[in-house]
Amino acid sequence: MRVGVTNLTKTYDSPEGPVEALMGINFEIAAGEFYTLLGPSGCGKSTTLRCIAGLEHPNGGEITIGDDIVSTGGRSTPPNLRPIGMVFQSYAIWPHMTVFNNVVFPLKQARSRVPRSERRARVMEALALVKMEELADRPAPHLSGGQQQRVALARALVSKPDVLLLDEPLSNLDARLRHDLRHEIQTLTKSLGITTLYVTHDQVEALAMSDRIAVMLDGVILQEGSPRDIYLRPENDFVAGFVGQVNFFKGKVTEAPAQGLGAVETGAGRISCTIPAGIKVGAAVSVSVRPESLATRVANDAGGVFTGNVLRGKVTQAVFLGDSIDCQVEVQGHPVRAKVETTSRIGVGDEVYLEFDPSACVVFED
Amino acid sequence: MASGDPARALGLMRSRIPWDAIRNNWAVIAIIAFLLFLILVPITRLLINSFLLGHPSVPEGWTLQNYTAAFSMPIFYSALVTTIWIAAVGTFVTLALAVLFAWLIERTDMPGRNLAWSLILIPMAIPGVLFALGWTLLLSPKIGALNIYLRDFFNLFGVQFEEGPINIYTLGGLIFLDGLRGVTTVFLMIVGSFRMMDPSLEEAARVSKAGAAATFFQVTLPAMLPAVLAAAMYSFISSMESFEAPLAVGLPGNIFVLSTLIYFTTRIQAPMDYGLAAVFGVSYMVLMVLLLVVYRRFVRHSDRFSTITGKGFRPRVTSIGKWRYPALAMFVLYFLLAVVAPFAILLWASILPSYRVPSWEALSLFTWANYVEIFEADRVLNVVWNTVYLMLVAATVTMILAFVTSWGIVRSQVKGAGLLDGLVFLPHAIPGIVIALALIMAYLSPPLKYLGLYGSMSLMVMGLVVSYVAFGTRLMNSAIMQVHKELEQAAYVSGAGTMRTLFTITLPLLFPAFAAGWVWVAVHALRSFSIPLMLASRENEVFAVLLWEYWEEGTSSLSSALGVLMILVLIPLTLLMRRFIVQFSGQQG
Repeated sequence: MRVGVTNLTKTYDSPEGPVEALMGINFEIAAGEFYTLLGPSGCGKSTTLRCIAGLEHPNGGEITIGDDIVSTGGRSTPPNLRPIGMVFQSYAIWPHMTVFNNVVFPLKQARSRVPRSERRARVMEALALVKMEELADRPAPHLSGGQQQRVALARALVSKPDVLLLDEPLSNLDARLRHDLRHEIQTLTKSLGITTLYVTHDQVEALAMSDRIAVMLDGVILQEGSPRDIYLRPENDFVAGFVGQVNFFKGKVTEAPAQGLGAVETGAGRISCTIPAGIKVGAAVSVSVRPESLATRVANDAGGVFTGNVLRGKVTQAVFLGDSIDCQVEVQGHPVRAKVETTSRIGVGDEVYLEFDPSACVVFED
Repeated sequence: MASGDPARALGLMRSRIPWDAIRNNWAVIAIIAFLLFLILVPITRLLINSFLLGHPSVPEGWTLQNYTAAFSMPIFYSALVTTIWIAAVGTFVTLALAVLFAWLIERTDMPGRNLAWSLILIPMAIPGVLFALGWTLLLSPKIGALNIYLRDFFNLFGVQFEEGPINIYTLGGLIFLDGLRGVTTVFLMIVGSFRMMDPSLEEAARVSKAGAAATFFQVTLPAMLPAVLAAAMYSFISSMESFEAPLAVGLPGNIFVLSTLIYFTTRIQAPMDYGLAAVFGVSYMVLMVLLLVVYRRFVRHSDRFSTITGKGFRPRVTSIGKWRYPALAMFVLYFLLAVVAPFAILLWASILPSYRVPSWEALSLFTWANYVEIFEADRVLNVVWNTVYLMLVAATVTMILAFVTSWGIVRSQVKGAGLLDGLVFLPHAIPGIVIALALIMAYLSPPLKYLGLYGSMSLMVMGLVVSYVAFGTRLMNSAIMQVHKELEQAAYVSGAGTMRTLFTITLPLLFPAFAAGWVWVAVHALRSFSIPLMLASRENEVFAVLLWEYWEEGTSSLSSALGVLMILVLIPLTLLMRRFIVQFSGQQG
């Protein structure tokens, strides 16, 4: 089912005066889509999700779920009457109940009441989705974090809601479990075809799971797009920096042809790249290049033809990370980060060439 | 909440209330409104009636005459002075004993410390009226058992007394009773501080060459001072509100305090003067609210100078050497006076056909007749039923109202939550006798008199609910704060409404606190005296009232038998509350 958010605003009062948490949020989630709000803490992503859940009252704007307007002009449908399921950051598994009683709870409520005789089957079905059938009769406090998260997911899904809301569900789990559950949640939501809104501050989760991502900062959406777009074509330096590591080269545009490659003169050297329309010669810009786009070669290697941009520098730091070596290279006094394969024998003090394709560069006007 | 700076609390919550929030929470709002109605209507009515002439049900017009009359009555001022004097000296005695016992029990090697910890709770199981009645049997100038023994003793040396030598029906008698009564509560309020105090403070004093006594007076006591002063203030307030001893001992001795003055004006003197009583009630209430404000200020400051560090160290036990047994003797004497002597004399009176001074020959008159008579009396079954009903209903209603109201206070982010918290705490400062008086006026006056609640059990329940709801909300506030908000929100998004969530999620999660509060209110309802005495009618008497009636009719043996039964029920209930009392005392205010 489609979810639409139009011009959503929310203001909190604080001792220092009103704080604008949301300043006109607009987006639309297609039926069956996995949509992620990504941003640092305090950016308004959780507030947006909680407005959709009905747990917060927006000050303005409109929220629709399917064809129903659930919130408009400060009036809103209470959460218990919305066709949603939700998983909380703290899991919010009720400790005074068993797993079964936690999951059956939504089926006893007016919105999604199911006849007594069918409840057991429905609960076991939901528990099977998250592979928790054997633990149905276990008291909730006797569950590990990962198990609690699975129960929370089963509880959110048992009433077959139209929309699933996930509020940083993986942030309290350890790295390994997070990785596993990431895949499970993605597979599960896709196989159920449920419309999902996911909120996270972890760009890896967002990139790995989402159909589309909206990057938020200070109550506004900075950019919306597919994970590939967000990563490769960030529209500003914050998005570029937030979804992954990035090197910025500050400089001035020296060539800006309507077609083909232009050029930027930076402190590290001349970089040829595509200059977005609207940026004129002489404009101050930043050129961003991700570390993994830099091919690093020791400078005294013989031969080789350079196909793109080349910078020359000296390795000042090399940190072995297991799957790669994280190198810091000083280019004309500018630190540049590069990702080097582990098989490489590059070490501190080596003179290196950093080679990168013009298409790996994204230019932002300063 | 209101315990913080109210202005700040209000400023913080200046968010508008969406119409939906009201619609979704209408049941919670209705329950809170009902509680406010219970609290505010009688208080308002009391204020109004203090400006009215005539009987509440047929007012004869507005006047200031009640005030001019009251303020020109010498007895009003003498009652005021007596009230304050008894409370002040009584609190001093209470405090000295409680501090001494807290230190002896927690920080010294006095023998039998663990047993003493439990024994010091027992006085709570003896209702104030029984404590006072017991002591009148012991120390009434003519027939008091102790007085008779003393006369016999002095007789051996040729000193003759007509009566006495000790007379309980005096100011000194009242101070004696008040001083002994408060020890348990104050002990419970300060014992935690003694236990938790960082022992290195005392060790530093010892290595600085201070002796045990110097250490206690120069280090231990000053470090405890904030907690001790807060407890003293609390004890002072309780003494100011005391009613039972002033009734049983003060009235026969013609000594009036504010509470008995109100009782006398509305229940004994003829014609009753409700306008005058209302003025007394209003003055009393204003005085107590002022004291409560001072007390809350005190408690706030005491946090700042807290010596409790929260680390779980064992307190250092000071050896008091040759003083160990004198210390124990001191405690035993206290226990004899506070529990054993009054209980023993009641027990004695209950097994004789009519009261005689304890002696071996009198014991031959032993009989169960009083107990048999009690159980055979027609009204007793009725009284037992009324008492049980009052306990169950008052405890349940109080705790449910407190639970829902606290939930509203803690969870809502609206302006006025702090004010609401203050309002439901207000009755804490209002003496039971004033609450009862206010209820009488409210339900005798139009329009509420048409409900016909005057003289019914419901009115008594209302009085107890108003009295205990401040306690209930304190307890529920802290319990609800410990329940993670997301546990409730998970229920909303699962399709449950507010009330459903409150009763299937929140209440079960904080049930231990709720149950503890329930028991606390039930026990206090069973012991309650001033409210039932003012509000009960002939058909719905409760235990405490029947007991007082027997006493007034001169059948002290029946009254004693009832008292003994009551204490036997209360002792296990009191011990049941032990753990929990400690928690609450720590967070008073």
